[in-house]
Amino acid sequence: MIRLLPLLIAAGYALIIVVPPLFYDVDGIPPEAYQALVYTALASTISTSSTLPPAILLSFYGVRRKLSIIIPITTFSTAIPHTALGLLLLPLYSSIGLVDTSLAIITSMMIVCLPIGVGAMTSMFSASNKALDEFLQPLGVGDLRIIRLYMACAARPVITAAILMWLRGFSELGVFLIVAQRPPTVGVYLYEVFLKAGASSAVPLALLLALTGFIFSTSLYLAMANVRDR
Amino acid sequence: MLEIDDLEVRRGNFRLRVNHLHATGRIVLLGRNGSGKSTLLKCVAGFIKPIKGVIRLDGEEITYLPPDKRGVGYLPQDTFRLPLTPSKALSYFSKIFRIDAASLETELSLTNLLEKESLSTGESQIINLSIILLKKPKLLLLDEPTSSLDYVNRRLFWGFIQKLKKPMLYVTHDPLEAAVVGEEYYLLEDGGTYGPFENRLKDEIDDVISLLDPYMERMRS
Repeated sequence: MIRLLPLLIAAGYALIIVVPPLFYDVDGIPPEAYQALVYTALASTISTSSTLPPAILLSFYGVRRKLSIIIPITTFSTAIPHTALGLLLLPLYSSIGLVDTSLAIITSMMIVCLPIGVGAMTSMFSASNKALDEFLQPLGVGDLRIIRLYMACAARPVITAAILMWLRGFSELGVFLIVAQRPPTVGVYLYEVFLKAGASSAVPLALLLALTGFIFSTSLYLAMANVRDR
Repeated sequence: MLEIDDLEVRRGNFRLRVNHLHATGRIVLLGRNGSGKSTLLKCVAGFIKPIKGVIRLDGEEITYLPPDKRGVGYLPQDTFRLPLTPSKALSYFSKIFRIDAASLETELSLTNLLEKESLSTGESQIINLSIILLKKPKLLLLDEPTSSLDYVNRRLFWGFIQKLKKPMLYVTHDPLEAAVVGEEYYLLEDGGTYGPFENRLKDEIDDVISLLDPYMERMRS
């Protein structure tokens, strides 16, 4: 009987988000929404693939080489509201002409993704077997090779970190409202539709995003089930 | 040869003293859990810095050198598996160390192990130790290498160790294991190190162990 409880909580969680919008009086989804969605997914993929290697490096040195000061320095931004983070970035982006550019979007995504990656990889290194490191260090094996061997031993946490980072970049809004409303990411586009045309136009797109998220997380869950750590 | 003089190591409230220890052959550090065996080994490996004292290896002082500059090989207590098949692991590290693995494979009769795709924990430990030997360290540091192995794998590992002609510090809490692998042993208790003691069971231990051969054969089959 107790096994039903988590299932009920999970189902209730999803239903609260998805079911009420289905009964809402809604319009169709405009074609620009799909462009914004694809654009955001692409930008998040670029930012994740550029940020994952430094996140791995930072967390390895933070956990394994007694440079733990790295962790708070690279994760403090998670405590800042993202509109405030956007305002903190604005002076830099304005001075180098990055406002409202794709580069602003990708670099902003990298800035919000990094703490997520560092957090996830820090957990991985803290939980992983120290023995491999202790075995390799006296042999003079370089840190980059040690990291590569760790990664090969723990594919699952690395994939998890990449997923979390990608989702973080994809769902970002606050920073973009300040530094890059153009080209519109899906979050900004949805926000603008809501302001201009109201909820009846914005809700269907929100549902589409929910569906995308569900398909994405389910496929990842299935993929993860087939990944084995050594 | 390893020489340790007037060494003091502290970990939390625990303090370990080593007045004098020298190792030229297979030296066992024997003691109960928490007696400081692993602490001493980690100190020699360079993972823990002593409060005072001197560690010399072949006449060179290594007390405060980083682990990769000491010329030691360290096999940790926790077992691990490299994300490579045995033969790939050996060739991967032989490339890194720029050393030909062929002579080691022959010398240690590794051919059968290297042909396997997956290994038992004991066999993994042998491959890990072979990787250390590729680097030709001056001293081996083995921290309870058989603690997670079953009896069959222990015998396999002990046999491998007996073939090695390297100075080593071998940590164990098991007097039987100490008698099998050690030429001399030091006893660690109450924060002190006592010895060296000669392994007087050296000549009889093979006969004692052979009494368990039927069990060994049964397990193997």
